[in-house]
Amino acid sequence: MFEEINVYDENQIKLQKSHPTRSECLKLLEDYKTPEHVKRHCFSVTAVAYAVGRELNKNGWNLNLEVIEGAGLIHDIARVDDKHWEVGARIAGELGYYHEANIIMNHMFHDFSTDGGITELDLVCLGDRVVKEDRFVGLPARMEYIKNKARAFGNAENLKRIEEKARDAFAFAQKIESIIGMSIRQLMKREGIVKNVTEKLDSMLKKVEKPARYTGGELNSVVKNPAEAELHMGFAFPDTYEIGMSYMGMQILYNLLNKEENIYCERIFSPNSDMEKLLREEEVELFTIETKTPISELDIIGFTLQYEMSYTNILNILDLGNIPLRSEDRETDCPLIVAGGPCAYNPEPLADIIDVFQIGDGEELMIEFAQMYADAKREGITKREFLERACKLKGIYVPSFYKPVYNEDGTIREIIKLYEGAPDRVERALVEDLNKAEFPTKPIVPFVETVHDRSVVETFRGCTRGCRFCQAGMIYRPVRERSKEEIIRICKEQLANTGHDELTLLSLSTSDYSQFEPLVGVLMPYCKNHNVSLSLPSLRLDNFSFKVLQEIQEYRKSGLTFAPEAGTQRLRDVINKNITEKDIFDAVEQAIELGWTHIKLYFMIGHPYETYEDLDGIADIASRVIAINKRLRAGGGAGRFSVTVSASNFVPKPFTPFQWAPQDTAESFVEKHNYLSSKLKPVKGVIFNYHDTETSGLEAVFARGDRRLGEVLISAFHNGCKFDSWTEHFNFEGWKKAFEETGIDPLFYSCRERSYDEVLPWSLIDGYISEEFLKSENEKAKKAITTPDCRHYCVGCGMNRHTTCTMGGYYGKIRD
Amino acid sequence: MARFVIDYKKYGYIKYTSHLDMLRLFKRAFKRAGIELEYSNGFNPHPKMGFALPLSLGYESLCEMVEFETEQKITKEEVAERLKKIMPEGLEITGCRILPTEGKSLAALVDKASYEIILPSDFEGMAECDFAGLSENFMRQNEIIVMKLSKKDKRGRRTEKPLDIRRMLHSFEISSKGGHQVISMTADCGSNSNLSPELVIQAFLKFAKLEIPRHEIDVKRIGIEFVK
Repeated sequence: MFEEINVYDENQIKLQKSHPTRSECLKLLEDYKTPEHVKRHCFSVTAVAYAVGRELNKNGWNLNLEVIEGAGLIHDIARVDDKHWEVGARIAGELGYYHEANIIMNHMFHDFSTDGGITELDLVCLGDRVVKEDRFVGLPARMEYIKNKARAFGNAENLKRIEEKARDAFAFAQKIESIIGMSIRQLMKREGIVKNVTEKLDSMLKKVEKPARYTGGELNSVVKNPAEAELHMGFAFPDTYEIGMSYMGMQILYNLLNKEENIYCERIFSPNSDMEKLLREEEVELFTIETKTPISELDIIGFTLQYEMSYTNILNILDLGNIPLRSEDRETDCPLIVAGGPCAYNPEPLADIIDVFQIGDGEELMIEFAQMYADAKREGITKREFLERACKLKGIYVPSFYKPVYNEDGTIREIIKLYEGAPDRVERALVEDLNKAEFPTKPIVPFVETVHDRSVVETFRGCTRGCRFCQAGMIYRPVRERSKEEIIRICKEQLANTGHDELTLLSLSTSDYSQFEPLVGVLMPYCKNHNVSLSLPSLRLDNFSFKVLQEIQEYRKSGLTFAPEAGTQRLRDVINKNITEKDIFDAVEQAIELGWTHIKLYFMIGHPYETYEDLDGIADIASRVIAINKRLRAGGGAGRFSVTVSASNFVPKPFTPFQWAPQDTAESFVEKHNYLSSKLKPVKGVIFNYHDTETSGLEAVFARGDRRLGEVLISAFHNGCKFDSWTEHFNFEGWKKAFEETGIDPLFYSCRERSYDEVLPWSLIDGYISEEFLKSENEKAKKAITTPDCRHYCVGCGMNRHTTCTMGGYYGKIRD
Repeated sequence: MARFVIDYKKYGYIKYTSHLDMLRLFKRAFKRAGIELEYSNGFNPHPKMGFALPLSLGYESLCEMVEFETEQKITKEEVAERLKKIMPEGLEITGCRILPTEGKSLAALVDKASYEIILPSDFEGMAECDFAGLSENFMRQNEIIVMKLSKKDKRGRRTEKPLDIRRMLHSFEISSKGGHQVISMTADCGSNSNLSPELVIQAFLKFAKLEIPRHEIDVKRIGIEFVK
């Protein structure tokens, strides 16, 4: 506890004749030549302290507002001097302003009153602790800033002391908030100290590109009064509006959450650089799309983790909202930060940042979780108490309840539990019956053109094919289908409610839907009659599909995509991509005969056990497609025909048979790209694209990384990294520096082979797919032995230990 | 077959929705309202629908018009009713009229347009301005030369060329409304001769020696005149 040094005792203060007026204070600042920015700081601190004091007085306190104003205005009068508090106190004291002098003397090191009292000194200090430069940022953001300074110096003792002080400050702020019956931020808003976003928004919107991304008011967006909602939350997509609005998962949860009467869920996106620049310049906090509420005022912010390269955007969103980045810095007065989505299956790189992860299907869990939070809010329990409750829900992972312990070689020795009541393993949430998981029939229709502007209906979740590189094929098991009738109903309603002129079906493999032909038989004529184009992605190219494609693409036979994934049969067997060369060439032949003039071939490079022969195979397939075209269309129209070969770089993912495998090194990728380029260049009519090596490497680091990467992320963010998945924004230097600064070797995560007995960072998460299955698949991969589609017979992935899987041996069942 | 024109206002946040996005918005709105548009023939059939005059991003308007053709048996009242129900906030349907099926499109008949240009309530230098005198003197000029950016050429380059806008500007007055100085102007509009309010704003601010940033100024379209 810091001992207060009072220059003047109580008796002297009692004898004090007058207090400095505002104009006197301004004159003093003027005469002392206090710099402008310091003056502005003093004004802001005073405005906050005065507003709080006046509000307290309205609630029966008796604080001297004159003292608060006087002391606040000149508390930093001598800011540029050494020991400025002493100098300032002397200036005030010599003028007979004893009380003010005492406050100035103590404002730097004051410990907030804990005896239940509140003094003028407390309030000036509170003002000082919630204002950064001349702007109200709130206690959490200010405390984070101070802690970060201590962290940078690496002085653990100092940091501990600051943390204690921060806790006292929070306790003090809470005391005030309970007296005045509102948060300090709310009071600041009411008093006009925190500006309403909407005041500045109109002029800001005139300065940015595509302003309709920030205005809200789109068709089917939900408008509620936030003040009437018990729980006010934001669903955040950490990328631009155009990308986020094309993501169906957000629409599903948005719809479900807003159906709950006591919940209001709004949307949050990463602003584009021009808007971000304006927000920072104008000191406007990032806001929700619907009601333009600053995101720091929400109860919960839920991020979706769709790809690793969006992680820095999460930090940027928090930062733009004035929300501390680290979970431990957000004790009170901050939204609860939640994250879900496929990348949450390895939550560890974000474990220090996110408070709660939701693993698995969100439809049921999200609602249960949100209502649990609403209850907790009503009861007024602490964040910690809530987390203790929430971690008992299936699918909820609270990272702060666990702590990994590392071996000397950097691998994890064990993960210890810090809270006894937390589960030993976190089971994923699973929606067993998709017909009961409501799919939106009134999705939001953006004003601006987004990546996918169309009606989307999910036909089934999961996949039976078992490609060994594919995470989605593993973590969404078992296959759960929506009934044909339900799909048709949703399609019709969605088209009627949106006015879209395109409809697409969503799943991991469109034609694997068991009622695919009858479904298409209904949808095709319906769409035709309603001037809607039907688009069916990832079709298996058999006769039926071609018939369908013929009909739905009457005029637009531009491109047809095949994904052999690997160049030779051996490597396709390794990755268990059950497609043969004959399948490919037969389909290509048919496509060319039917008039397609552009074929896209999609491959991955860097599969485990890949050799240069497999790369030769890629070139061979491309050349043979060209040759087929020449043969079939000899003499006519062959000139316009082209083949695009796209190669992405393989990234090993958790919960796949290749989760132990090393990624290819950057050098090897580059060599392989160059090799393929040289092989494909001489083939006329082939265009070769490949994915950037540096991002693939980073993706691999974060896909299988552990908790220590949190510091790398924060450091990269401070180095200016964001929008990492955008080539034009990708800042590799910033990342390199981040790894150097934190002393972390990225190759440890990306290019190292793990042994089967290593404790993997995500081992706490139970994805229901059994580890024995993944191991046996990996062993079979080494010998290039395939595993059939589960529809032939159950391959024993372990799913039916937890739920009913209807697909095992499905073909046999329908034959009988 | 019938040809309709819908009158509507555009105000509030939706003024930040661009012309192209408005086209898509109306296409979807007709679908939702169950009004089937006539489609053109050809490889890429598109609905027969068009705006009388594109509205710049960020402008409000009291007098927008969109025309369309349909085979459907439907009254103009019914069209207006159905659309009123489903339009987003800030797009207010004010009426629907029937046009003769033959003849040029509205877009081809536009002749003049009127705007209100709303200056900020307070800006450096504004207090000293005699706006009535300024607007009179502004219009008394024989020519008003502004630099106009050309459209992109084949190489994607744009060049600046001097242009006299005086002959295209028919009226220009400033009055005080609700604490704001508001310019009311009418100018040529359409394919023959077209003057954007942006150039007028640019010219007037220069003339009045005011350095008001563009984002502090609001523009509202208040009328469209057609060739008789």
